[in-house]
Amino acid sequence: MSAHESQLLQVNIGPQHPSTHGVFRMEVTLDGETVVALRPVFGYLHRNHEQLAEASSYIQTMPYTDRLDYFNSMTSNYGYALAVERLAGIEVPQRASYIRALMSELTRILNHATAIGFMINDMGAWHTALQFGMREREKILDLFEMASGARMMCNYFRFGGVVRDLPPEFLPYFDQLMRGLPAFFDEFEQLLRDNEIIVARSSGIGILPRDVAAGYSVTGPVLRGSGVPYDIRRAEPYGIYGELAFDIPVGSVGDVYDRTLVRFAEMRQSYRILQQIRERLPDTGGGHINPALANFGKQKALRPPAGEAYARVESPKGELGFYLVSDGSTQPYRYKVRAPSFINLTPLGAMCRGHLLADVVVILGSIDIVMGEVDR
Amino acid sequence: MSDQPAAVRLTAALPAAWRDAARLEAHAADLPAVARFVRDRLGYAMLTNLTAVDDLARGEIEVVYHVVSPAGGAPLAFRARTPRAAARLPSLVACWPGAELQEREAYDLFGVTFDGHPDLRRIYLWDDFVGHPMRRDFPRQGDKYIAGAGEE
Repeated sequence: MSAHESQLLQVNIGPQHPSTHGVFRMEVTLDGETVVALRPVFGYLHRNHEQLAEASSYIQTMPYTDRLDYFNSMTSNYGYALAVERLAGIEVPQRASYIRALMSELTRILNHATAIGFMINDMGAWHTALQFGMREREKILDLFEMASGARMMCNYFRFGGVVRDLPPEFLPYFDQLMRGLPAFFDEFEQLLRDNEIIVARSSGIGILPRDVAAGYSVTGPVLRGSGVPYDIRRAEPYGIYGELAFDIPVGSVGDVYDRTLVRFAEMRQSYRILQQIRERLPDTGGGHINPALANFGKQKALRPPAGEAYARVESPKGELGFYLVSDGSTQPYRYKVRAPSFINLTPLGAMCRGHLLADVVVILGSIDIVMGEVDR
Repeated sequence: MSDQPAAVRLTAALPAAWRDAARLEAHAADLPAVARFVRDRLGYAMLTNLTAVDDLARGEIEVVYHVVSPAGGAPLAFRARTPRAAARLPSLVACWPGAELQEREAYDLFGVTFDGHPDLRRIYLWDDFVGHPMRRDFPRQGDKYIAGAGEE
């Protein structure tokens, strides 16, 4: 045995790197191939979203929330609408709440299908697995386009409801999608769940133990993967979620594999929710928007009374919260976004320590971030 | 919005900690004690949201903490204020590691120094940036970083 002099090496992953999911940089300190320390570096996509919102009327910010988590504009819209409705005391009709939940659950399926695909990209199974997720996502984007006019930047929500009711061609296409989804889940899981690459690259990697996960403020599939059954749809139900039956899947170890399994299981739970919504949707009353705010001029002129409100939704990535302070004018005095992808990065350094450099991108992929929301 | 029974227990248990008990506004020095009580005795294991509000009229910055229990329920909001001219508060990272990036964000955008933070640096803006852009009196136009700003 010979003693080799070894020296720590600093490596920058990103900001221009295919596995950082956007412009994100990690300063990694390596001993050989083992990670000794990792520091995330933010800000490449920072545009002071919050200040722009504070210089705009309330409704002007709605399309801008689409750009936070640009994969899931519907849930971003939902969180913001909920916060303004809480601040101004606006009622939402039953039908509008059903349409909102329907869009949120479709969003969850498209997010998880692609998040799993992108993570497998990072493992080296380049794009083949992702295409299965992308195929289903395309169908869901078609539905979003029918309802809102846009595929990704939907801008579909308004205070007190949604901008327009579902068009006549929506439900037949939706029913067709629903008929195909169980086969997609089966096929996707069959291909990936027990896949040798995935099991080998993800079990025991990036463990976030149950007892520390909540202290790091992580939410969504990252927290549930660590075994904490915390879901805002159950913890503090909003809209119609109090009336719906669904389970909260959790992991046992808290590794990358558990987070992936949670995402697989959550897609099936979203499907269950969509079935319940579809069954009850024809009998819902109240129209797609509160009549007092149906005129767009009323949305523009909204002046919530002075006060503050914090509202949160379970976005596919975790707790998406909006904190608003009103001074009684048409612009928010303070507008703050609690972005799940940003806060879920808090334990990244701790999760990567002791693993190989190649595992870093897999651990990052399992957190499922989107930089539009991280940097704001 | 906030969890009322918990707020009553909190103010009763720490009667001297409050500058304004009705809003759960703590004295800055009592913030760590309030945080420990909230976490250990009331069960709020998660600091879900930490943010600052610039109260220009009163010359103060308010930092708001939203905490939740993993068992569910609405968040509890407590807060502390600090003068704008010398904004300093104790860090809560030792109590909730989840405060780390959020306190850095409040430091970067509002200029609040958190004493005891393990790694307090700017997070979004570059290190030699001057000023804190989320303060209400930060110029919204004509700053030197905007291309062509000095040309008219």
